[in-house]
Amino acid sequence: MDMETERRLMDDIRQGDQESFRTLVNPLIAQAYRTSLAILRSTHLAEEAVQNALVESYSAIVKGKEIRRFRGWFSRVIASRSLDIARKEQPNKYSVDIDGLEICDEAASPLDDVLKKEQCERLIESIMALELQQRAVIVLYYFEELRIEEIALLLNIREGTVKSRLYHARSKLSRIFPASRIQAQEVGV
Amino acid sequence: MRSEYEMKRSLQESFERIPVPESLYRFADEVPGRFAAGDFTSAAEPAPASRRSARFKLFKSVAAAAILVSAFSAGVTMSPAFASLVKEVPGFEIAVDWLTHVRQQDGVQTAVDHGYTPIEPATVRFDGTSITIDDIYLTDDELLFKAFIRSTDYDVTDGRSPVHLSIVPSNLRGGGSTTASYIAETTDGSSQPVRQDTYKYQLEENAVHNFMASGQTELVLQVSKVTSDHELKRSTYEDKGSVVLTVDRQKLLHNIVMEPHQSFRSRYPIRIGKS
Repeated sequence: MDMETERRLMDDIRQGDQESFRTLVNPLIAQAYRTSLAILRSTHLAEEAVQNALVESYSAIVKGKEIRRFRGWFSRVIASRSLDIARKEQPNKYSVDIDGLEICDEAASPLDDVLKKEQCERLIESIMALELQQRAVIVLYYFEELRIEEIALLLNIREGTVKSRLYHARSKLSRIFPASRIQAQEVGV
Repeated sequence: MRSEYEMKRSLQESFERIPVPESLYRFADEVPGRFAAGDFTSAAEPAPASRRSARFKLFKSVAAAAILVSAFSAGVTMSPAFASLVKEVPGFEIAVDWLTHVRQQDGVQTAVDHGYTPIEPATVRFDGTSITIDDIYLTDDELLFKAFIRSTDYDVTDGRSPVHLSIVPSNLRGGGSTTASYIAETTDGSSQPVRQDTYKYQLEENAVHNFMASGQTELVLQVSKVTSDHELKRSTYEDKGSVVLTVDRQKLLHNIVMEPHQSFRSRYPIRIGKS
């Protein structure tokens, strides 16, 4: 969705067109949920984070907040809400409930099917096994495609720290997931 | 940078296979209407000085239910099997294993295992719909409960159905929504689908205190049938009645917050593929 369409939809929402909110956010919900799930490792908490982000988005739009690029803004909101919950939940050690997660099967051939499923399983497992600090930067950088400076701002850390966490996360992934041919190296920005 | 590209591609391909709950799309549909109705007022107001906590006022963690049982740490713990047996859902014959799994997901099973069920369930029926409210927990600032719904009026299994039920406390002010939904089948031989919605309401400050101080002993949940018309871009709410829950204040624990007495279980590996 281009910026102009986003702007028009936000104007329509402010005029009371409820359908426009659905049009604006529906394409973003799946990625938001998956990002949140990766950070929180909990389907329940991920749903909660997305719900909070949706309400916050609607509130910001109707109150006239200047949002230049909604997609990017929403990515930052979902990251913030997920991290908020992660920080709050961490002392309770309550956040692993992805046992029932079923990964969709979209492979083209039986062989492809087996290989893809195995690869996806191992990669998701490996990322979920990382500690929160490293998991968050990996997901925000590679899946949400936020910039280093945006991640630094979100996490309230220096850009160098973000790079360092990315480096160490990739090092771990390359050890426990060599099949992906991931190589640990400094992230170029 | 090849490894950079591979990392990004692999991660995106893997994550895009994770299914997304339909309930989130329905929630997005409801946000404008519920915002206009004032459901989210306290949560959506920005509060720069305590921004994080203000946002948490909308849907706090399900951990609250688990924390509730902490006061029983020195008490007798029922065996999970017995607790499940005595804590079936009235009016619904549902597989105990499934129910236990759902309760483990949201922390309620720990409370059940410790025999902590402070508010008794209640069932209402209207038209072709039967609703049981169970697993009800009231803290100083939160109300959590589960709704088990069976209906011949609408398809409870269809997450995209234009019709669904909304259950809102009418004598405790607060904002909230469903936080999870599951579909099961009855085990009475008819294999009828049963929808289970978990609700969580963040209550206004002093709402519970005032409720108790006023001497009320009944918590009333209003049930509405919500029909969304996507062409007309509006939803209509039809009042279908209320569920009255008897509150015995002697049974309610007050917020004694301790670490939940449940082990931290890693559940890797994730199951991949169709079941």
